[in-house]
Amino acid sequence: MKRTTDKLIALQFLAVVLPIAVVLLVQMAVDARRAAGLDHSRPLRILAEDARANYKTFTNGAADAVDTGTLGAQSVEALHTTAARLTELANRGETTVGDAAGVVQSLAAVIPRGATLSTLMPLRGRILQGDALTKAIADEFERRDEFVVKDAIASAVRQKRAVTGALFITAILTVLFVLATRRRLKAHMEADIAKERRRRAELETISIRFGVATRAAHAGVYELKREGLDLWWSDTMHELYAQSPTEFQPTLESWLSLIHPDDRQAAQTAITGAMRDQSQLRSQYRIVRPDGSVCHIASLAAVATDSVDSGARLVGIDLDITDRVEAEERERNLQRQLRDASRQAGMAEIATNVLHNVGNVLNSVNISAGLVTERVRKPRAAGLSKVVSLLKQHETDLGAFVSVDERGKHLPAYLAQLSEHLMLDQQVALQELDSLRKNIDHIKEIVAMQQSYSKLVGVPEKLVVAGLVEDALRMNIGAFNRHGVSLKCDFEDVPEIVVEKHKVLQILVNLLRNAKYACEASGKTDKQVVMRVAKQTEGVRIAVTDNGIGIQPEHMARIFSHGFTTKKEGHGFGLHSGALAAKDMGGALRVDSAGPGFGATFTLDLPLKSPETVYG
Amino acid sequence: MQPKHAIWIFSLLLAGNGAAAVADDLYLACHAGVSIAATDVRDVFLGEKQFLNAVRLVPVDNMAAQPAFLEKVLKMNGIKYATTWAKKSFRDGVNPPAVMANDAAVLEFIRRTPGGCGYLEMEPAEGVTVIAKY
Repeated sequence: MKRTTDKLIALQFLAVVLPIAVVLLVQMAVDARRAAGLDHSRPLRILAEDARANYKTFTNGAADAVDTGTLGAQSVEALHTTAARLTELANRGETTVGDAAGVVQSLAAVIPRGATLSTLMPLRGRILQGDALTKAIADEFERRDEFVVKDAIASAVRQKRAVTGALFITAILTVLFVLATRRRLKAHMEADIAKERRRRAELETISIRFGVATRAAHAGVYELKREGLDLWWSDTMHELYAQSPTEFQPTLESWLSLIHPDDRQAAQTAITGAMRDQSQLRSQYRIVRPDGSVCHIASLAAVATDSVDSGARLVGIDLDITDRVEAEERERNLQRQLRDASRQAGMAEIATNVLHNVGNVLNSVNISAGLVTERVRKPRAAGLSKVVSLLKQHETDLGAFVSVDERGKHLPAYLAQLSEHLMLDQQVALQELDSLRKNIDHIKEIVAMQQSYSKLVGVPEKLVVAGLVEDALRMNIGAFNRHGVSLKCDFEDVPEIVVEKHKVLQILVNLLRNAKYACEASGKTDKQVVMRVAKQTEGVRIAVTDNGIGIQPEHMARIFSHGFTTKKEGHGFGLHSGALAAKDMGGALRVDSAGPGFGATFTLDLPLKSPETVYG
Repeated sequence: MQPKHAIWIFSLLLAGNGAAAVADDLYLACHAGVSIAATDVRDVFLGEKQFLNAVRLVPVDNMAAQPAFLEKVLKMNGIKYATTWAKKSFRDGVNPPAVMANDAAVLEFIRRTPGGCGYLEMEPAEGVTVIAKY
């Protein structure tokens, strides 16, 4: 409105001033040009007038000579002066001089001082010519002066007309602008009034919405002004702090007194910092209500100014986030429990694997032990004992017994056969004992691996990815062999990663077991699992691909959900815990499958460093 | 040569036949479009009145009738007339009237010259304005 009015006033001013200013400027330019012309012609005119006056002095002297008979010296001097003036005029480029200078100079040359009438009379024609020429020059300058005067008069008349015209135009423009201004101002005022009404209605609507919203959100609104000296609270703010609007007078000090002592200093620092730095305020603190209950508050505020109040104000809201905080705490507890359960489950799975592998080895151990036992239990020692007993009975006639007695005759052959059998048993026993030792060493390695994982729980360490994957494969290779699943590895050179070893191993063992199960369930003859390790931009990717039964599309979204499983004996925990473990390490576990019968690929992306390592 | 002698010679040149007898009648005539008052004739022939309205008056002398004209009209002799015109010409840059030989020349001049005025011994026929008779 004000801007429009200013524009109209400026236009009116221009309408009044501009025409007259243009007229005056044009007139000033014309006057200046005329003055310059006069300045230029004035000395020439003086010379011309002087020449004419001197020539008249000369001719008057000549006329007097008619009576006196002699031309006076003053007249002769005047003639020479005339010649000089005309010459100067000609030298200054005055074209009107023409032949005058020559004529007068010739007269001056032939008329000496004291010339008589008889000298002058023959020159009368040239004297008259000089008179006419000098008069013509003077007349020309007179004409010029007259022209200048006429031009000045005409200019003044034009100026008068122009000023009159300008005033007329100004008057018309002023009337038009006044009319236009009135109309526009009226329109603007009406528009402003309508706009103001709309704005008020909008403000009322906003106020109502704001009140409803703040009440529904349990949000209190506050406004802190004059460096914290003035504090305004909305009704909802009083409700939030459980303070009566009629009894509690909010000030910064009284406000801070309601904040939990442990959080008070931080809250005050945040408020004063936002006021001082004119920055946004985001703080969280607890308040203690009059009934002693503690409420968690999130305070969001910004410094604002407006055109009415020049001082900065901190306008903000306090939100009751007690439910959220408690929910977050519950969620944290659940997450912690879930992680623990996951960890235990992982450890259980690893232990199961270990036990399974140990069990497999123990089968061999049992077989070896059985064989040795069976060999040992064979009655070869009893036969030898009978031979010893016979030899003791015939120790006096041992020679006759061996050569005569029928039983003695068979004794050497029997001993030779017994010796061969004992040698054979010894070899078999040694072989089985060697196998037993190897199996016991294998069990020792498995147990040692389990012990190493147990010791490293929760500690990130720098690991070679290929070695980690090979450990996982080693734990499953027996099962792969028993179920006829071929394994193919495709490892790229990747950098070492810093992760918790047992978490990655837990994930990989689980993925390999699932892959083995999927292949086995497919009934295919070419069961195959492909293990890939590839480098990523900022991490490493480990992919387990099988050509097993695949995953139905509707199961894809739930595959990592807790309790979801497609295995008869599954408990729906392995993939869920694996996904959580991957997330804990700053990575991700994903699945891709073209559908039932087309196998599946589980992809584990791991960062080069887990978040605990980065920020810890 | 003395000044007086020069003017004398000049007057003789102007007066022409100084020994000619004074005519009985003189007629002052002007171009057909010119009508000056009789009282202005002296001023016209002495160079004092040179314009009538916007018309330049051009007086001419008639050699044959000049003595009579000077005597009857201008009341001066030839020397005085010559001296007056000498001073007039020097002072005002005005040439003295041209001198025609006789009435016929004067008549021819004033007929073809706007503003022309002259005096004649014989009364002119039509085609000119007779201003006065002396």
